[in-house]
This record gives sequence, C-alpha cells and structure tokens, in this order.
Amino acid sequence: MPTAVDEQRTRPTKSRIRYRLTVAGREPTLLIGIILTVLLLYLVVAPIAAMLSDGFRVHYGDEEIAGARIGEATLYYADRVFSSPISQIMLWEPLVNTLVAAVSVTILGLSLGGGLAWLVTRTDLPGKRWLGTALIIPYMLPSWTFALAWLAVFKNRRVGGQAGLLETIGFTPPDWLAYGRVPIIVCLTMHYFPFAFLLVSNALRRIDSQLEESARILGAPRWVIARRIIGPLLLPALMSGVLLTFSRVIGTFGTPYLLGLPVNHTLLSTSLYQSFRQGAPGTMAVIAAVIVAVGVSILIADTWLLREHRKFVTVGTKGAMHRPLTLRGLRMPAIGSVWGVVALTVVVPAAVLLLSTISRVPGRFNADNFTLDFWIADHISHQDALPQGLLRSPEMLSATWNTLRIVVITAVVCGIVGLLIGYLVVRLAHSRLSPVLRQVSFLPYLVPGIAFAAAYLSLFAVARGPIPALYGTMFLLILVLVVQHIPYSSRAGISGMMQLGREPEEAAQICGAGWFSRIGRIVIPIQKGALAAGVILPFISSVKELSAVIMLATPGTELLTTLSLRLNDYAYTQAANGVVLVIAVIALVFTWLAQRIGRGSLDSGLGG
Amino acid sequence: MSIDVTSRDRRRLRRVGLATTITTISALLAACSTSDQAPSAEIDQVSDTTFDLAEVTKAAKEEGEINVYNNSSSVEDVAANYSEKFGIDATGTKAGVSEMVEKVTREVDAGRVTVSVIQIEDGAALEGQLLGRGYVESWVPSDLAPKIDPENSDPLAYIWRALTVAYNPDVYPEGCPISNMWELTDPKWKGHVAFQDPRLKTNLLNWFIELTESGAKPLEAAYKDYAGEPLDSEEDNAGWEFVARLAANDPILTDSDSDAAAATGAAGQENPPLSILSSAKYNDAESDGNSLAVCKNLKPWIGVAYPKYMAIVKDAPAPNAAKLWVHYVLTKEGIAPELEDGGYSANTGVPPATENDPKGLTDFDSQLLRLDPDHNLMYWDRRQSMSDFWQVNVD
Repeated sequence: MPTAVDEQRTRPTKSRIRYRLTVAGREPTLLIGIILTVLLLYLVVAPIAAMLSDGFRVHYGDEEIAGARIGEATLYYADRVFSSPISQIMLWEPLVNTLVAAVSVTILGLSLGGGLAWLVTRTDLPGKRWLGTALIIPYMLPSWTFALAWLAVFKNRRVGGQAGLLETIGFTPPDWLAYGRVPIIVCLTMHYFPFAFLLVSNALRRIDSQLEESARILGAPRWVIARRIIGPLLLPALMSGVLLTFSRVIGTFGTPYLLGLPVNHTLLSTSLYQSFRQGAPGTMAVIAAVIVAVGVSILIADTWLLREHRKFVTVGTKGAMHRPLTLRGLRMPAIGSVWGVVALTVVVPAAVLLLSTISRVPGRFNADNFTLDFWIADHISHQDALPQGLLRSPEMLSATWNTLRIVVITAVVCGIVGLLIGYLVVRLAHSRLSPVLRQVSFLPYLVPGIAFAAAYLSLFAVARGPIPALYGTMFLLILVLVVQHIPYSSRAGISGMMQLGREPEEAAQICGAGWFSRIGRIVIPIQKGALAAGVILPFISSVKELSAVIMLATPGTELLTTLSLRLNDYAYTQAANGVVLVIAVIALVFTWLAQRIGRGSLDSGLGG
Repeated sequence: MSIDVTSRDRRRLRRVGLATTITTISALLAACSTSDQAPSAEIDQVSDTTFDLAEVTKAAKEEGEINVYNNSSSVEDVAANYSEKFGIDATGTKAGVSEMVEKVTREVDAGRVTVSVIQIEDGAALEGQLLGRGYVESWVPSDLAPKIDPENSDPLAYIWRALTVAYNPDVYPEGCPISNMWELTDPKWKGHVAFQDPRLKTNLLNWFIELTESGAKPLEAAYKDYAGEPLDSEEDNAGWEFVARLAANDPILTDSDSDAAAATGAAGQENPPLSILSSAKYNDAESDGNSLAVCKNLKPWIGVAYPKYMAIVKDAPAPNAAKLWVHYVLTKEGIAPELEDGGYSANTGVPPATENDPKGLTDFDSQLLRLDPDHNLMYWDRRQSMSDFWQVNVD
C-alpha cells in the first residue's frame, strides 16, 4: 500500500515546489538565517577586503613613485609602511607603543577590576548596590574624558596653550607625567577596568561557596583553593576580559590622540589617523590591516587558551550558597580604597572638567576668573568658530540632534537584529548554520574601532552595485555603528532566547499563526528584557563612540564626540570639555535606565 | 522535541554552505574594485568676458543658499554680511586643509555636493589634489580681472597673509632676542621654538620646500653672518640643513596657532619660547591675555608670505551664488572681516589694511619669503619627501 511518504516522492514537481514554498513561508527561519549570515559576512568581510585592496593598488598621485598606473597592484605602500626610512615612525614604534599600552592596561585593568569584583561580591562590604553602579560609570563616560581631565590638571608648557591646573598653582609636571605613555596607560585603565569588574563579579556570583567550603573542610589552605577551584572557574571570565580590553585598547583613538601627539608618542590608531589626514589612503589601509591582524591574533590566542574551558558550564545556579567573607580589621581600608577608586575615576574627572568649563584661565581661583559664559553667553570673544555658549550654540544643538537621531536608530536596529540573531541561533541549534551565525555575529570584534572606520571609508566611498556612495550620509554612520555593536546585542539576544522554550511558539503554530505574528505577539513581548538590553547597550556605546566615526563624520553629519575633538583642535578647551560632559550626562542617564531594567542585561551584553 | 538530521537535511545544508561560500567570494570580489575615481583632469580656468553682475545676482537669489568653507573662522562674519547684503542664506564653516580636501573629493565622487566655494591656504593641496583632478574650478570675474595680478589669477588667490616669528615683549623689552633665523636652530633655543605641527599646518611644509629653493642662497649667506664661517653640511643645500636643524632642535609642535601664541605670550613666564604664527594672533593677543610682538629685524626674513586661494567646487549646488561670493570677497566690503587679521587683498583696488598687520611688518616684499603660486605643483610633488624628511629629523 503506498504510504504518504511514497506519495510525496511521486507527486509532480510543481506541487512539490509549492509544498516546499508553503512550508518555508510558515517556517522561514532557515531562509532568514541564511540571508542574515550572508549579509553580516558581507558587512564585515567586504570592508576589510576593500581596505586591503586599497592598500595594494596604486592611488592617484603615486604613479611615478610606485612605478605603475592607477589601480594596478603594487607593494609600494606595504614597502613604505614596513621597510622604508619612515617605517620606524609610521609603524614599528607605534606598534610597540600600542602593544605595551594594551598589555599594561589589560594587566592593570584586570587586577583592579578583579580585585574590586572580589571585594564587592565576596565580602561584607557595605553599600554594594551603589558600588555596583558606581564602578561601572567610568566605562559609560566617553573614553577620552579621562584624557581631557588629565590634561586639565597636568598639562605643562610643552604644548603651548594654557597651562594646566598644577602648573598655574606652581608645580610644573614633568613631560613624562603630563603626556605620553604613562598618562595613556593610566587613563585607559580608568576607562576599561569596569569590563573586568563586571565579568569577574558575574563569574564570582555564580560560583557556589560550598565548593570552597568543601575544600576548606578537606584541609586545603586558602591559596590552593584560589588556585585550583576559583581560578579555573574564573578563567573564562578573565579571558573574556583580556580579549575585550586588549582589542578595545588597540583600536582606541581619542586618548592617544590627546595625550600622545604632543610628545610624538604615537600608537597605531593615531598613526592611521595621520595617514588619513595627509590624504594617503594606501598607507592608511596597510596600517589598518596591521591593526586588524593584531586583533585577530589576540582572538585566536584567546580561543586557543580557552579550548578546554569552553566545554564546561559554571555550576551553581540552583541551591548556590554565598557566604560573604567578613572583613573585620580590613573593613575600613577596604571601604576607603573602593570608594577612593570611585572618587578617582568618577568624581575627580567630572569635577575637574566642570571646573574648567567655568574658568577663563585654569587654576586661578579668584572670583573674576569664574564665568558661565562658555555655557550660556551670547557671544564669546575669540572663539570665532563657536561664538555662542554651548547651550545656545546652533552647532552644538545640531550635533546633539544628529547624535540622538543616529544613535537611536542604531540602537533600535541593533536590538531587533540582535534578538533576531538570538532567535535564529537558538532555534536553528540543530543545524550547522547556528554556530556559523554565532561566530559571524562576533566578527566585528576583530576589527578594532578606528580600523573599522578606515575599512568602511574604503568600501563605501564609491557606489557599489545597487548601493550608492554613502560618504557624507547619516546612513554610513548608522551602518558602521550597527555592525560594530552587533556583537553586544546578539549576545544579549542569544542569552535571552536560550531561556525561552519552543512550546509557546509551537502552540501558536498549531493554532495557525504565521511566522511574523509568532515573532511579534509571542517572542518579542516575552523577550522585552533582552530586547531592551540589546537596545540600551548599543545606545550608550554609540553615544560616546569616537574611534569608529572620527573619519566618517563630516561637518554636515557632525556628532557630539567628533565636535568635542574638533573643538579641542581649535584650542577651545572649555567648550570641548563641556561637550564631553554633555555626552557623559546622556550616557549616564541611559545607564541608570539600563540598571533599572536589570543588572543582568548589562553583563550579558558585555559577554559574561 | 528532537530533530533527526536526515540525509536530505545534510544535502540541504551542503547546498547552504556552498551558497554561502559563493556569496562570500563574490562579495570579496565586488569589494575589490578600486575606490579611486578621477573626474575630468583639466584645469578649468573660466574668465567670463560676459560676466554680468546683475544677472548673476538675480540667478544667485533664486538659488537661495550657499555653503562655503574657509581655513579661517572669519568666514562666519563674511557669510553673515553676504546674507544681509544679498538676502541669500550663506553658511561659512571653518575647516582644516585636509578636512576640506577630503570633503570635496568624497562629495564630488559620491555625486552629492553640498559645498560651493572653498577658500584654502595650501596652494599645493589645491593644485595637486583638487584642481588637477577637476574637483574644483578657479574662476575670476571679468570686471575685476584687470585689477588682479597675473600671478594671482591662475589659480585665483584672493588675499596674501603672513606667518612671522614672534617673541614676548614683556620678557624682552629691548626687542627680539634673536636677529638671525639660524638662531632658531641654536642649542640656546632648544625646546623653545613653538609652531603648529607641519603635518597639520601643511603650509609650513610648503615654506620649508621654498626655503630649499629660492631660500637656499640667502640662508647660506645668513649662516655666514651667524656662525662666522661658511656652512658645512651633508644636505643638498642650506635650506635642507636649516629644516633638519630646526626639526632636531626639539620644537614645541602644537595643535593650533592659538596654542603656540599662548606658549610665547602667556603672562608670568621667565623663559618663554619664540613662535612662528599667523598675523591674526597678534591682534587677538590682548584679549587672549597674551603679549606678542614681531621679530622685525630678523635676517634674512621675518617670516613667510603666502596667498590664500578661492575656488568653486565642481557640480556646486549654487554655482551663481558661488560666483557672486567670489566677486563679493574680492571687493573691499567682502574682504573686510578677513583683512582684520592683516594682509592685503589681491584686488589692487582694495587698500591694504596695514594697521592690522603686526607692528614691525611693514613691507611684505622685502621682509618675507614668498610662497610663489607658480611653485604649487612643485610643492605638491615634494610634499611627501619633505614631510618624511621632517619626521625623520624630528625624532
């Protein structure tokens, strides 16, 4: 007797296709997954390919020196970057400086963040809830806030301009303290230690203290417990922290620009920017490729080190006991040091910057030196390019409007795409597409900040098939920011979707709901939290993003971050500091909102 | 509910994998086309003999608005005056040279031009990057053409400005502490000469190149006065030697002119540096709280004179308003805001504002080395090698 399956196999082709299409329409998950994977691959791989192509083809003006015509393949730029008399200045020194800075910031940040995490989660320190929020704030500020605050205090005559606070009072800071390696490392540590803090405190919270207590009962001394129980359990979090911190540091632009250039201390990001400023797209592309190569090797190293550890899950969700350690004698010093860190990384920089925006000349504490002019005056003399106070300046208002517009769209798109990726990765878990999509959505991690902008500049400078040239449009900025923040929102989406079973959807399917109504009426309402996290994290991160947009924003599409740096270039220090404070306020308001929606959302976004 | 992976699924997944690979490869190939584009490569120098101011004004008013970029912030005042006079909404934006070049080239390439006129101080960048590749056109209104010298007409230079060496007269009341340019390279002034980073202020690179051209012989003679013996150097000529020594003397390289001005002029210093600044800073000095004066007896020159150029962008959104702007800026009224910072208009009918020049700068021709507009392409050709030479010697 012919079975249903036999019947299916013998049906004519046309109705088989119609059958397949109907099924696909009801369950388009695989199709959407394929489209999304291809799209993401294109958006990450294509810019890098365009960038590499820019680095190895002759550009206008270099035909003579490269000995080839425009567009022909050439090693001239690679040669110029790697092995010419200028290579030392253009690549090798910056590379060494970058690696030194990245390693130092990672080590210091992990020690500081890890230590604070232990104090906050594992001891009976008072005020934990406040501390938990306060210690994340340094990351929520724009990355070069600390550099500006540092300059306001430590700037010396070396760069001309107004003196810093200390020098006006009478102490002249030495060059090595005011600029260069030391302040870059210190300021970047202050900005990035919250990564380690969040990741380690998350991991520590998940470790059941019964594990340690069993070891104590068996007679293990404290350091053995730390080494053989807590250490391995913390390792994934620590390695995540290493990866995140390292790759952010090699791509960061604002801090090295402000603190390094005055003494010719260049990092790869500032060297890339200099090539950009000099209109040298060939060398710019080669340097960007080096940055990407460094990022990729860190990722590979990280994956290889963690190859064993990814195979287990951190235990302790149900029935975990957390017995806090009593500090007794060390209580006061611990409280002091923790709140000291908060003071140094949050209160002092904000106060210094605020003070500078209301002083005509920094450091003079007489009444006539203080003024609200830089905020509200109608006309400020000799600040020709920004003659009004910040709160009245049309440039400032248009930059704020641009920023909010672009960042809100970015955040919403990121949130939706992130949730979609989460849905696809979890629902397609049986297919080979799922790990591919998961990896592809993390690819943007590989391309550190400023190299991203260089790559997108190369790709979308001219029309590509149906896509018009995007330079100067809002769309380019949105695209870059979205792709850059997909890793965060997709992580939030994946961890959110992992907690939702198939049953509600299947019930809806049985009732006849199509794919879109299932997503819209079941998944999204349940995943409000993950969606919110996927929206708010990219929002906060994009509002203060500088490295990825510095080369893409034009005077028509100026953002608050690029405005701040431009004002600094014009030596309008008070205005530049003021803009940074405005960005910080916006970011902090939304951080507070994020905290209200739930602490877990921030961690999941950062990849705990 | 578990899903068994049947052979049909495996085949499907293999097809998926193949499709993905093909798509990726084609994406890579698509991305590999060069992002270089050069529109028509001709210097288009239009000098209408049929230029009719009234007609152009009428057409400009219909266009309604115009965007102009200038290296100097005085453009905002000029735009305000222009708007008031003609009823056209003009926006003037201050922008750096490389920013301007980047914006113009990318906008024209993308077919989305927003800027109509650029006023740029780096003639080498103008001719090498913009004019030669057809991104901008130089245009001289025919009614003013007779009043403009031929050397300022092609491309159109609308104003001449100066960079001069400055000192702090409060600390040195008897006058400038140096009398010879070579003293800037002297160990006594090591770490005490401030100016904007040549990589940012590319006009300084043009100045260095000119020093190695027409400046070489005078520098050689000046060296004999300074050191008492002829110059013995491994470089090609005295100009290269001067640049090398200046770079090696640990100069204070600032982000902006204002920073250099404050470095020299700020009050309460015992040993302030000298600086090389634009004339604008002297007039701002008092309100900035700085004390600045020109080293008016410096040999062989007290600084360098350079022209600023004006050009209309290709496919400008407001071509008639652009022509009207060019015409306006060449008149006395239009150039007034920019002349407040010193210099003289290329329109010989406009009286130079010598009272705005720093005291001591009386004769551009004899006191300053001139950046010759005819040398612009040469400056551009040598830009990279001079920039490299500077960087190698600074370190």
